[in-house]
Amino acid sequence: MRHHKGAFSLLVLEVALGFVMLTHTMIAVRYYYRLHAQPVDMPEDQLVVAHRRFVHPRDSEAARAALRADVTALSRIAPTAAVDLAPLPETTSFPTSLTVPGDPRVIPSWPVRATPGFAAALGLTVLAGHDLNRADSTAPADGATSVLLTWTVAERLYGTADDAVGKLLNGSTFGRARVVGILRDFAYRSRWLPTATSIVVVLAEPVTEHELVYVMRAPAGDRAAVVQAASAALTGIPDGDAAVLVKAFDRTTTRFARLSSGAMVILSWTGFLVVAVALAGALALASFSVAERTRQIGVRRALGATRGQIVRYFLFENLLLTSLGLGIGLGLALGFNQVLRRIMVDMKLTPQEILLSMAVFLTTGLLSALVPARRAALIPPWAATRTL
Amino acid sequence: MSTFFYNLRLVIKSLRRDRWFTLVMVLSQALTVSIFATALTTSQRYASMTGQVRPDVFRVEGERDPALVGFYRGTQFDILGEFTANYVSMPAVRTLDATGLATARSVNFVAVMTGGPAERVPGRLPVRFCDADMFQMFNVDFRYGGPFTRADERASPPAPVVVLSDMLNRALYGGADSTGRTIRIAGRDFRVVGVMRQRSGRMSLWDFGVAPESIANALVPFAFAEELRPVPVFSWPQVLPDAGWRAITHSPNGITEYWVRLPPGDAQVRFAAALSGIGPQWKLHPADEIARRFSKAPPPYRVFVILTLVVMEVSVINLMRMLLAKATARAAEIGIHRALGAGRNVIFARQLMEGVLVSMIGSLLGLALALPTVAMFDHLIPDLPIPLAVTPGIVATTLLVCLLAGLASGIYPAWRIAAVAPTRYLGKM
Repeated sequence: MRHHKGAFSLLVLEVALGFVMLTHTMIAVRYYYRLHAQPVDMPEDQLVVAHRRFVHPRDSEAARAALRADVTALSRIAPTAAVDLAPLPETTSFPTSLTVPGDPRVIPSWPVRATPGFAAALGLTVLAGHDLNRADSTAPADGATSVLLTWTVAERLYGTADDAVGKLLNGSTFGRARVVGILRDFAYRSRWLPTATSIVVVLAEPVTEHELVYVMRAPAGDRAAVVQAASAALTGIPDGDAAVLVKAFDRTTTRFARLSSGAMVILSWTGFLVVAVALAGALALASFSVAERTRQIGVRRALGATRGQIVRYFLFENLLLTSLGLGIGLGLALGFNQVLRRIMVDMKLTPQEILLSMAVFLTTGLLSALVPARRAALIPPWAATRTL
Repeated sequence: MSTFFYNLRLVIKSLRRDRWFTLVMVLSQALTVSIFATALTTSQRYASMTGQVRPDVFRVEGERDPALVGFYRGTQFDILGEFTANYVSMPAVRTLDATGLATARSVNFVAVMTGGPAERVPGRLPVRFCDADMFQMFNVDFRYGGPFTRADERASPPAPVVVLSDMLNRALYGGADSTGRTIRIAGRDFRVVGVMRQRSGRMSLWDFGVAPESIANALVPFAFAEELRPVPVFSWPQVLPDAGWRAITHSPNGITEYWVRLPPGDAQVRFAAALSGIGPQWKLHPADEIARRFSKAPPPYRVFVILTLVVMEVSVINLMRMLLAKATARAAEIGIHRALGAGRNVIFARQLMEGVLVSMIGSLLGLALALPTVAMFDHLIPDLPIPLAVTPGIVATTLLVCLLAGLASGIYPAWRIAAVAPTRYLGKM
């Protein structure tokens, strides 16, 4: 090996850099896979989203009247809630700041304003207290609005979510509020948003001067019928100045879903490229090693080495070089990871990526060595005499 | 020169002799370059906003809200949090307008309205409310027609005219000249007077901070806000959407960007004084500096570029190994050349030329492959509606990187081969 130290050093370096690249590509693929596949704890395949868009801007009171009529009609079909920001993709909002009286901390949270029956309409689990209901709609003496909190935000606000029900808080956009229920964490589909499970649901009639949004939960397997019935119900309410749109929620067509799956494809392609390039190079070098060492192999054969020993020699040589490359690569990868994590904190290197990448390089290295090793084994002992 | 062509002919002969070997080298390089150029193209979409705005244009920035900045810190929306934490309120805009110091000024915010082409069922339509001055402050270029003017917005009643972004025009009219067509927004008909030209594969400064789903938008004079009653997409702290425009316009919350053009000297000083009258933290932020500061691809794109750079390095080493293997395997031939009088420098130059040639052929092929790869990326990752484009700058950068890669790949094998005495080569015969 020392005769070919230049070429072998390059192999070691290539394996090392390839290892750095492959481990980090795997980290990135894992990151996007988690975004793509992680459940948001809503029965998305049962949800129906309906919009009533006003052609002309409508005063808030008139919009509220339309909302009440729509909710009444839709609730006859399936559990329904009006929301101003469906916790579904393609919506954008800014966070709200939550504080607890007597506590200086400010906890940001994503606000959703919704009508009674919100948890039922989205298929969410109420862990403590109760869902928003009509009784909450009557303003209490202290003027506090009713809110639901996800477990995460309740823990952050009160230290423990266990006894958060009944406690007070202040929201920068909705003022004084009382916690009436704790929801099992659910999340915005765009999970890369900061603290995507930190959500506060505020009891309110969520109207704008332009649009009303409803979420319905259809019985399993019966969504198409609900879409049809909801569409008929909304268009059946005479309102010549509005456009109605009802559709089954389809996460696969959302920008977020396409983006995360697309990122996985591109990154996998990049990872495949680096392995393919390294493999092509390894094959070339292995062929070269055999061509270069025909005489040497001939001598070894003449001295009694069997074909099996020649094959094993080449495989061992490759294994040694690849292992050395992987050892150096591991050090480089750990350093590189520190740098990348300054750009993206989620790019954490774990033993899984390390082991899987090592397995890929060891396997491809041995495979690439096998072909020329077998060819080397076919060199007859008299080849040693040819160049003497 | 004749020596150069002689060496080039020998190099080409050498490459043709081991066709499969050459093919593997070129293809490896080409595939690597295609992914590198793609990564560069995606990150460049966010870069180089400088030159898009006049140097005497400033963004008015209020008191930055530390809660919002802190909320986004450490996430890929870090910059967005900082940018939007400086939105200003409409009462502040009115106070500053009253100074009369700005030679040009524009509010700028996006609201999601109900609307679309008059002949179709209205749908979701992002609308940017701004002033006519915005077009000249940002050097906006037009594909069709032109901007709406101060006269349009100051007429009584204001002229119902609208400008479309390139992307919206493509979505609504397939990219055809839509000037003269009618867009209905919140029940009001607007005549299309112009379609802005999207810079090739580059984000525009005025689109910064706008959510991707709202970048393809229609621009209407701010004078119509009272009638159309928009609810700005972003506001901090939040304004309740059911409060309606009339409450929002009196709210102290930040809902809009506010850009002003101030001639150097007295006007700037007096304007800054008016700002400090509103609050001690209020300041003028030069647009050029904002363009430099925020021209930064989001972290995933930067990581992608870094990863492809590592792939490039792997490719360089791979090419180096293959060239070395090839040259060493043909040691006898080189030995003859040396024995017949070829100097080390000639052998070195020839080997180096081979490396550079393979690298450059691979690069050109890689750039050609980058076109479908970029299109695939755009299709698979609909991050922004601004189409990706392999610009001349990206081509030049890629070629430069590849030239350096070719030199890096070729130098070591060339040095190794040229350094060995001819007798050693001949001994192998």
